[in-house]
Order: sequence, then structure tokens, then C-alpha cells
Amino acid sequence: MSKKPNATGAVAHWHLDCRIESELPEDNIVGTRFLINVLCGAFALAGLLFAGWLGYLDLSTRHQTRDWEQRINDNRAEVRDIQRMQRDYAVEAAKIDEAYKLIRPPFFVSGFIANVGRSRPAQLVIDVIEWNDLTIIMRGTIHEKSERASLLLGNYVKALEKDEAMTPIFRQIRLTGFDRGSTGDVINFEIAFYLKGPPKS
Amino acid sequence: MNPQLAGLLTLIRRYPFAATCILLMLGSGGGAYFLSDDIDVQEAARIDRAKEGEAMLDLLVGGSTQRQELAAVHEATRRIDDNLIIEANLADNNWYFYKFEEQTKARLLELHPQSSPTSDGTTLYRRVPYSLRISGSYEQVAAYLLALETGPRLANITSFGYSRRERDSPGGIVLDLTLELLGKK
Repeated sequence: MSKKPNATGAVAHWHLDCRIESELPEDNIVGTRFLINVLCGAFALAGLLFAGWLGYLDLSTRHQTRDWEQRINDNRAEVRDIQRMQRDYAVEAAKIDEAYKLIRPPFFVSGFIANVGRSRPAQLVIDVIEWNDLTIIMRGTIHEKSERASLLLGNYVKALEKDEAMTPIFRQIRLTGFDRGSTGDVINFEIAFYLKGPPKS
Repeated sequence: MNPQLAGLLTLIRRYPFAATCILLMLGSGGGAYFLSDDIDVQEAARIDRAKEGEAMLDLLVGGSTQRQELAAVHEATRRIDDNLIIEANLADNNWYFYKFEEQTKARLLELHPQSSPTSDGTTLYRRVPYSLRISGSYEQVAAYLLALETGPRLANITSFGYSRRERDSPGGIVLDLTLELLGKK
């Protein structure tokens, strides 16, 4: 409805305007009431959706928790059984560790002697092998002239040092003695094998 | 009636839909506030349970392996226990060394049990030391040594001396050994 014109204005009126404006319906294309309702409705819908989503999250979390609890309860007996096995395993493993700690050989003597013999040149005769604390001393003779003997022994020691079976056991292998003796054709030699690790108890 | 309340009631009467929507909004807001707090609590509980559950699943997956490993370790300890020597049982202990003499044809020239060290620091086992002298050909002595080191009783050779004895027997070798066998405490 159009606004009430000024009754005291210059324009003449053909009758008195008796409308009560506050009670007249709006004549806007989009009414205020509609806008208020739409805004409030939209916010209310958004609020409901948000609360609903939170509710869904809450329920879903509770459901997942219950699901895990169910699975844990279902397998509790088996878990107890496995835990008992683990305890048994620890006890038994401790026994083996204790035995190993007491009786652990630093190396296999049979393997060492076999390795020494395997790479030995034919001219070389081993007379004595002795193990004293961290060193193994090997003494022997070689029936060769000094020059040839020194070459053979040098190569033998190098071969021993490169031997894959020896390197984990010994930190060093050295020719520690070389004696021509009385004749000159027989050379006495001494090779020392220095063990890795602490001295044996 | 309070004029402000009266005005509010007029507004509610004038906009009943909007008023309902505002009420719903307030309800939703309050609900969301409480739910968001509860979600934090529930999420913490879920994470705890999930961790516990995942650990349980890992444990269950390894269960069969655990069973096999336990059987293997039982078997190993049984073998150790079955082959522990008793220091006082001299005949049985000596028999162990003479048994290899027969198998390898090496000659066990000397066999001397020695007294056990007192401070092993273990409750289950003790070391029982022996000194022995073996003679024979290289093959025989090497076979004896191998039999001792790989035999059923756990042995640790603590020193050895290996020497040729051409005077006694051509090609002969004498091996002096001191070793420890694992014994029962």
C-alpha cells in the first residue's frame, strides 16, 4: 500500500484518509516477515545440521569404542595364552643365555686347526701350536732356502689374514720368528695369531 | 506484566516461525557445545581402545610364531638339561671322553677332572673343568677335537697345545687340552 500523503499539503483530497498504517499488510515484493523467517529458518537448519553431525560423530566414536572393546574381550583368552607363552619364552631364553654366557667358546679350535692346515704350503711343517691367553703361537720348520722360505711364509701369512674364516676371530696375524738355524736349508719360523676380544676367564 | 516481556511476547506472536527457529538454534547450540566436549572424551577413549586392540591383533598375528619359537626354545633347553654333567658322577663323565676315543681311534692318554670355579655367578649351571691329553694321527686327533666341540655336552676349550711327536710315532700328534663342560649346579 502506498504511503499516506500529507493531508495538509497543497493537493486536494476527495475524502479523509482513515487507514491505520501499522495494521496494514506490507506491500513489499519481499516482505520483512518473510526475510526474518527465512534467515531464522536457515540458521536454525544450519544449527540442527551441525548438532546432528556432532551427534553422529559422537555415536560413531562410541560405536567404534564398543567395537574395539568387543574384539578385545573376544580375544582375551587367546591373548592371555600368548602372554603366558611369552613369559615362558623369556624364562627359557634366560636359561640358554646363562649357559651360553658360561660356556661360549671364543672360537672353534677344530675349525682353526683345519683352516691352518688347509692353506699350509707343502714345504711347511707345523711342529707346535699353543694357545696362551689372547695369542696363539704356531711354530714349525720350512725346508727351503732363506729367500724362498721368506717368500713362502710371507704369502702364507697374507693368505691367513685374508681367510674369511680367520678374520672374524683374529685382529692380527704376524710372522714373529724367522731363524735360519745351523744348516741354512731348514728355517725355523713362528707365526702369532692375536685374538680379538677380552682375555678368556 | 513487564513491558519488555510483553513486547517479546508480541514479537513471538507476530513471528511464531522465527521464534521457533531461534529456540531451535539455541537448543542446537547448547547441544553442539555439550556434544563437542563429549566427542573429545569419546575420541580419547576410542584411541586408547584402538591402540590396545591393535596391539592385541599384532600379538594374535604373532601367536603361531610364538608357539613355534617356544617349542624350539623348550627343545633347546631340554637338550642342554639332558646333557648337563654332574660333577660328582665321575664314571659317567669319564665315559663321555672315552666314548669319543672309541669313535675316532685317537688315544686318550690322560684325563684329569679339576675343581670347579666357585664364582660362576649363576644359579642353574656350573663349569666343570678337565684337562686331557690325546694322541694319534692328525685325522684322529682332529676328529676327536671336533667330536668334543660339537658333541651333545656343551664344552668350552680354554687352552690347547698341539705338537708333533715324531719320536713316539711317525706322523703322530699330541694334543693337550683344558676345557670346561657345562654342569648341573
